[in-house]
Amino acid sequence: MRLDGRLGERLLQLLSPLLLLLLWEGATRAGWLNPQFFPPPSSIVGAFERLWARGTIQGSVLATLGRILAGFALGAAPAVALGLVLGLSRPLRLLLLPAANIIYAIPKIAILPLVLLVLGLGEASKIAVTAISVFFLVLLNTVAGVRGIDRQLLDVARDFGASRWQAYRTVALPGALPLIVAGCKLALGFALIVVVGTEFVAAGAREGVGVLIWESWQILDIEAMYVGLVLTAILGWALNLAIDEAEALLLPWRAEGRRIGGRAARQTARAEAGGGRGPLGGLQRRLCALRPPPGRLRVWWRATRPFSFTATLVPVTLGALLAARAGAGFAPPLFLMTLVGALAVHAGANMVNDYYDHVNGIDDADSLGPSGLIQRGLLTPRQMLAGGLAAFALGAALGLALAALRGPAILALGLVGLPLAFFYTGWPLRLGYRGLGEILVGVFMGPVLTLGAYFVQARAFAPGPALLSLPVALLVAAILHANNLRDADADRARGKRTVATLLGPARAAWEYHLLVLGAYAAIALLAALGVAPPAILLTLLSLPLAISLVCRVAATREPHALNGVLRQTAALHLRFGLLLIAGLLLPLLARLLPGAG
Amino acid sequence: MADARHTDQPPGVPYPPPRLPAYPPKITVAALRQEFRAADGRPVVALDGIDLAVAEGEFVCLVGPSGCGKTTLLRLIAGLERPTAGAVAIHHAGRDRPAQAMVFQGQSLFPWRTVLDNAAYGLDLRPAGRGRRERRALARERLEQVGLARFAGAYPHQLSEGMRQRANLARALAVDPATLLMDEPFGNLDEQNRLLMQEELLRIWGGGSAAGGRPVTVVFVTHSVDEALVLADRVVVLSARPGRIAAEIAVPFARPRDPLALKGDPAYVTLYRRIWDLLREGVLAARAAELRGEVA
Repeated sequence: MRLDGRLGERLLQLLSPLLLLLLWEGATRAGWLNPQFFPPPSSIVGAFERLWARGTIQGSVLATLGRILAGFALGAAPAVALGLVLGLSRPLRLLLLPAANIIYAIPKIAILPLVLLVLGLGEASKIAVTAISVFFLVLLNTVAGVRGIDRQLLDVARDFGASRWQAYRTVALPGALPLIVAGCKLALGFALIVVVGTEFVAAGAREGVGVLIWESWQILDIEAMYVGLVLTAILGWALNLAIDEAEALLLPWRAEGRRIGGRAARQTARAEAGGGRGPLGGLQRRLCALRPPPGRLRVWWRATRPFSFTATLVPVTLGALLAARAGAGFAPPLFLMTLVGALAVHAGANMVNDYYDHVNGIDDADSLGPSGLIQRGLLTPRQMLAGGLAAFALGAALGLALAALRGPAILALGLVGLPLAFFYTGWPLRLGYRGLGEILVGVFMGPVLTLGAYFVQARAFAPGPALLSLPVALLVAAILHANNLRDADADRARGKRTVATLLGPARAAWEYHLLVLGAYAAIALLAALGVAPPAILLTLLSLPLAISLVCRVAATREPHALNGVLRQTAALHLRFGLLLIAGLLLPLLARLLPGAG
Repeated sequence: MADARHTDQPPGVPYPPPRLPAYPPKITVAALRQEFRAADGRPVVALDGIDLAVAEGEFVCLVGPSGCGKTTLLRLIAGLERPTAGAVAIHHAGRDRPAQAMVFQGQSLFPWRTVLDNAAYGLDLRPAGRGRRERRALARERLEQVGLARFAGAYPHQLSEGMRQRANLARALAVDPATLLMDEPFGNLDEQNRLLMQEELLRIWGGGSAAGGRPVTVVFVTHSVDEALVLADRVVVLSARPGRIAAEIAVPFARPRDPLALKGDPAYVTLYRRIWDLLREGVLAARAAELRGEVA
């Protein structure tokens, strides 16, 4: 099939690094590349684990990050202050800006020797060079930002009698802020370059990503050197992400793209955001509120139905945690690969579901159902299907990589899981419309994901994770069942068969009770039989919410009331899952803490 | 008459005579001259020989061909510019309200402030002992007055042009100024919104005393003769550059005025004609000057 142009680009962006890694791995295995200089990615992952266990990675990242942030703060704060003054005062600008422009042109790493002479070899010189490079970037951006402010706004301030200080605070600073933030973004990138550079050159630092790279070069530990390179990339990416978030917070008037009159749009956005009340519902809301770059990417992000991602997050975390408890260790990169892969498959299933529900006429404009992006014309059905398949492709690629790294069992899980995710609502099986939805979702987002995540870390299967995933599976099935309860009448009219339509309202309500309360019964049983530590009884803290939900389902059949139940059930699943994870984590931490000292 | 100005009543208008400026006036402009340097360094005379007095509570409209210095005159009155020669003064004694607030032309809301925060801007600069909550409550009242209370939380770019103009007005009203200086505030509005806003403005001005019962003086710049006749007690016609006062014309219609009924009034047609005749000379002169400038 032909891919939409933009989507094709995104796919290329996503897949090319993965392809590169696969090629690289294959080339070294086949002996085309000298593994001494180009060690295969899998061995770099090994080096990563080794260095992580030694604490080298954590220490290096913290040291480098500390230098970046210290230099950034010392450089940016005075730069903004001076920039505001120069932006508003023409004489001062004429006096000082030429000098600033000249100094700006010098590559900052080139003045390191000078700074070393003055400040010595210690921390101070590294931070000073960083601060200087940050200072000029932010200064010039701030001046440009102030000068770009509409003169009339300054007149408004003067007309209302603003003092000089008030004019800075209420007009110059907020008006220049977009460019200041842009300057800070650039400056952080430069700070990373400069700090890693100084860590190469200036001895006297014991830790740092640059130190790691340099020292591993000296002892020809090439794999560790690559770890350093990867860490640098991750640091740069994370700093960028952080400043993007800060931008959304500092410049809310830029983020709100929609015009008034789109109130309906905002309400649906809120409904989509879903999530129950309380702190954990907040997490779900925030998952959706996370703002990737605006425009098409945002639409795609919504198409994945991010609010439902907690259903994947919980079992994957549970599996990895159980592996760590079993003494298999915990490799963050592997965990990330598992999580992203599972989320991609989940997102793909959601998008394929949107597509087939649309094609089969199950959703229409007034339905409370999925993302509604097709109905509102934000995505064409074809784009939605293509997006779903692309997400599956990403999931498959990560699954293949994990299979290569950890063993073929992952391949088997994927070969079963992927088709199930597609045919959940995909033509022609449409398992979810034949009354199999709860079972399918329960099995996939319970035992399958938990065992998969466990296997990735531990390279073995075990009965414990399967058993502990059962309560989570029951609650995930309860979410879906709440959804089907709500839509029962509509589904019946459209010939969509779910357990809720098959059983009829009274017995369907009983199914909900069984699923929710069954989860707690399972937990009690597991604790009593000694399969898991008694700390998992922490999950009982969520029992009040569960009971109130059961009461509500017993009392009502009204779709809008059940819409609330749906959201709250999702919140219950997350709360339960996190409490379970916390219960399993507690003894682990208790074991680690005295041992660490 | 020695001078070319007309303050006389058009003959045969059956309305009470207009209010003449009471002394001492609220605003006085005397022998004002304003020059600036053009891009090529030549001095350009924007305003010359301006003498004007505005009474407290009076509504004065400045009309004139574009580029005649209407906005410059308003900015001089506001104190945003200093005159080359002559004097401008707003006579204001009370310390409990500012002497003036200006409603600027076009986009003058702060894009980073919500509509409510924009309306509260003047109050935030001069809290006068009011807490933040009280200032927001005051600003909200003004937004209600201009019909924007529902959009208090929106950012300016989310509003239509008409809504932005109203927010602009609310910001000036919020500080309860003794004089409102308005620079073509309704210039970018469509006909219907313009009529509605004129009505709202007249209601707020309240024939010279705002809601609190205190007099509000208005100097209003417009290039629309219709708008001037609907709003003003007195229309000051400026000539083309250099701007001089070509005439001061009293507008005798009783208040409250009905803009639609006014337009059918023969006296309205007469006044319209007269102002337009004065403007036409100015517009033609300005065009001729432009042509000469381009040729030279």
